[in-house]
Amino acid sequence: MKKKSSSRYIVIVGCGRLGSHLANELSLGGDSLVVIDRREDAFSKLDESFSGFTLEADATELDEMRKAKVEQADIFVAVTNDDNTNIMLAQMAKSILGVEKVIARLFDPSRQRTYEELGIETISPMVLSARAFKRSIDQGR
Amino acid sequence: MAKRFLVIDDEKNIRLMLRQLLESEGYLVNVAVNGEEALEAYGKAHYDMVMLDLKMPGIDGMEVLRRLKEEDPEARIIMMTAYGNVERAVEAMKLGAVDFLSKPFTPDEIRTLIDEIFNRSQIEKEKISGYREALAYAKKCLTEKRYQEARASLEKALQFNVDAAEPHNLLGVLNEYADDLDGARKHYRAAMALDPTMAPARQNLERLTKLRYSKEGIVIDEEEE
Repeated sequence: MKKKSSSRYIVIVGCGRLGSHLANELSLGGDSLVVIDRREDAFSKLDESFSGFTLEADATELDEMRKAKVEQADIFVAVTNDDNTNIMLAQMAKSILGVEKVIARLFDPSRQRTYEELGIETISPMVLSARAFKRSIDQGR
Repeated sequence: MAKRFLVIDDEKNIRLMLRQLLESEGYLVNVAVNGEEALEAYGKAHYDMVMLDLKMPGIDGMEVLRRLKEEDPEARIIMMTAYGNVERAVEAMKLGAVDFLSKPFTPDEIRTLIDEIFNRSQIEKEKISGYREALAYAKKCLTEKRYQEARASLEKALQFNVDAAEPHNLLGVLNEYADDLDGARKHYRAAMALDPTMAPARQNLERLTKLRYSKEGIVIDEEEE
């Protein structure tokens, strides 16, 4: 970790079900968070106990990313509901703003390898749930 | 003794975040959700640092800053502003805020700034080893509206050099700020007696003895003539 503090500075783009859930959990764990979404009403999904910043902005604009001080982030997470947006954001964070750890959600797992070659970690909910299903099915064998 | 902070912000998530962060650093933290509550809280306890949001419903941050500085010229206040609102932040610094943070901020940013501010006044105090330093520090305090510290430093300057006229002129200015015109007149006269050529003291004394008194045109320094 490049920072001396125990509390990490994490920027999450997309405050849908996944983004808000993740933000709530990380906030409870003591991390310092900035959640960005284009729609202000999306922030209503954050818990009462959420202690971080919310920023109503279009994160695909580099200026907006700079406003969120993404270049100082320990971790950047792109979890909007669009694969192309997530990848674009992740690339901006990685290559332009120099964030060390960048994670993007990917609905379409066929592109996973390409992105991981770029140093962007991807998580595909489809692959994760398929694995969980398979595990459950195998257990009943 | 642990230093005490007052956090003033209408947004709950920001209050929570600052409380968590500052408490983890060993500070004591009180919070206020608006200007009214802040002014009330400030009157009840001593605070080493205030973190104040610029944009709040009701009495806004700038007005709270103005009133806190009026009540306690030595209050250390960090303004928290929305990103890019530099003009307002500069305005706040002119009103006596020690610094500003633009939202969102990282934990390291806050820590570094707070340490730096606490160290700033410590270093400045320790550096005073002679007349010139004491005078320079007093002027700095004066421009930062820390009048009590300015006064203490001027008295120290006079201990280093009892024959100096300039500290008397500045003590006169401080007395005028505190609406003690007799005290001001006494100091301006002392400055004139010590150095009859000292223009700022002469101008201040002339202004003060005019029929229609006005603070307009107080002369602090030769350069300002």
